[in-house]
Amino acid sequence: MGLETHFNFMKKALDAAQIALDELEVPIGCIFVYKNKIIAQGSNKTNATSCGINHAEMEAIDEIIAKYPNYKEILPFADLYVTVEPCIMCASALRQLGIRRVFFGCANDRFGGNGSVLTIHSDKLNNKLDSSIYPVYPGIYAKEAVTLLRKFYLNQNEKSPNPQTKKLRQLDMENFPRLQFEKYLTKEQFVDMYGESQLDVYVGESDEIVLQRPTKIPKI
Amino acid sequence: MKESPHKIDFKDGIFDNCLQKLIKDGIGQENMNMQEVWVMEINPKDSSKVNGMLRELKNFHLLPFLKKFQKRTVESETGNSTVLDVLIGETSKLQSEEEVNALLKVDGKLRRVNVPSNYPPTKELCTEWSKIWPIVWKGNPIVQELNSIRLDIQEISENLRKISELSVSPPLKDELPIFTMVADRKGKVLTIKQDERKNHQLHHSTMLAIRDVAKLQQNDPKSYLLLDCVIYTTHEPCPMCCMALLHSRIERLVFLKDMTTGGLKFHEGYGYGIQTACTLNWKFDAYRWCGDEIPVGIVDDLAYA
Repeated sequence: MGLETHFNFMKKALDAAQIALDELEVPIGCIFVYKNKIIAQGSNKTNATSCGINHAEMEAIDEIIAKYPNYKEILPFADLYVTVEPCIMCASALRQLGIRRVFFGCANDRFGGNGSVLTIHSDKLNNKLDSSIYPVYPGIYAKEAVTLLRKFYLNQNEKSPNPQTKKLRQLDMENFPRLQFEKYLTKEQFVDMYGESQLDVYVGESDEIVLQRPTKIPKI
Repeated sequence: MKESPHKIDFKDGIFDNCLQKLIKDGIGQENMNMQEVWVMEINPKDSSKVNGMLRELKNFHLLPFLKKFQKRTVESETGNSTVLDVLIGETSKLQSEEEVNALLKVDGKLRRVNVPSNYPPTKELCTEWSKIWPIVWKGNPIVQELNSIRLDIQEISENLRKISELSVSPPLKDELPIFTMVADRKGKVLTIKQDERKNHQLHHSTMLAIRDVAKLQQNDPKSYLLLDCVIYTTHEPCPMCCMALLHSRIERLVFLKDMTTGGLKFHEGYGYGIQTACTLNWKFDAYRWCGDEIPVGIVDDLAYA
């Protein structure tokens, strides 16, 4: 599976996040992929349902379990593409379901269970062998994922009965947080997925993972 | 501070011999560790000058619970006089007398002294350790926190017995005997749910209870998630359920049986302590029942409750 495929799937997750934004939900979206096909899509629905646990992943998982009675045989061969790092709850759910791999866009500094706050995906109990651990691959369309979140918080501001006039807030498209990749995956895992040419992103010397690395022009 | 109505074992966080609050860093170390510091003997009239100079070196003196000055009476042939001993800082940071003298432009005799390097957990130990160097006693934050907690032990044990009874009764359906109850701030029971993972692996009792409360409160504009609610559960919830409860802004959780895969413990299993893992946003208190046995149905210890 080439990098382009992962980018295309993450684009679909961004579409799902856009649906959440349009419905005035925190814009996070995801898709599950099995045998190269999208088997479920989820958008965050915590506001509409007044239930703090109806995250995008949970919506998609419910869809899969309703659709496929043999879901336990499917998920160990399925991948999740989600715009924001899964929270601790979803990270644990994915582990219990035995997901194969998780791709996420940007980090979730407050609740992240795939490396930001806890490392639910890779922790082993008493160092015992455990087949339920799964690798995570952050960074694809991280800026797009952050931009959606920023749009949401900007809207919130406009709707506030007492809008903050102290500083005129506008969408910041210049500054984006850099992922600290070593929190989420090893260098080897990174190279295996993204290729040697993107290693400067892993070590923090370059901004983001890109589909096409501009080839360096040799100095003459 | 008001006296707690509970009998509290501060070391293990146990209330009235039956409810143990899970605590990350106990009340602190009862053994005194020592650390070597520079102390300068100065004339008391130089104290404000020295104090000013020390303030400028604020990154240097890193033992904030130690008093800066200590009076000492010096006996000599001409009679007794008072001198001030000033705590300058760790010798590990400033290695020679020359370095200290270069920083502090006062005359005074320098000497190396060993002082306590950890804060005493109790007032009694504070008095004891202060004989070595005076310590500012500001109470113990964990002791203060435990003292401020009020628990209705009667109500808690009654609720636990209710879910226990359901858990050990002959099963009505072929599901795990894990039960979760949600009570609101007034103690009114909002829901009791059993695990139903047979057709949906994530339908743990806690997840089902949270969704049920959301449904019940759908048309109540005053309610917000599970704010102020107390959760009673037979088995320590898995990390997914613990985080679901944190997202739901609960007040407190009480469980009966430890689970290896549980998400609440700090020092066993995964050691996640999820109830305080995201304190920027929310935290809740978690208690384990440790009183007279309240039985629960049998669940594989490695299962996620």
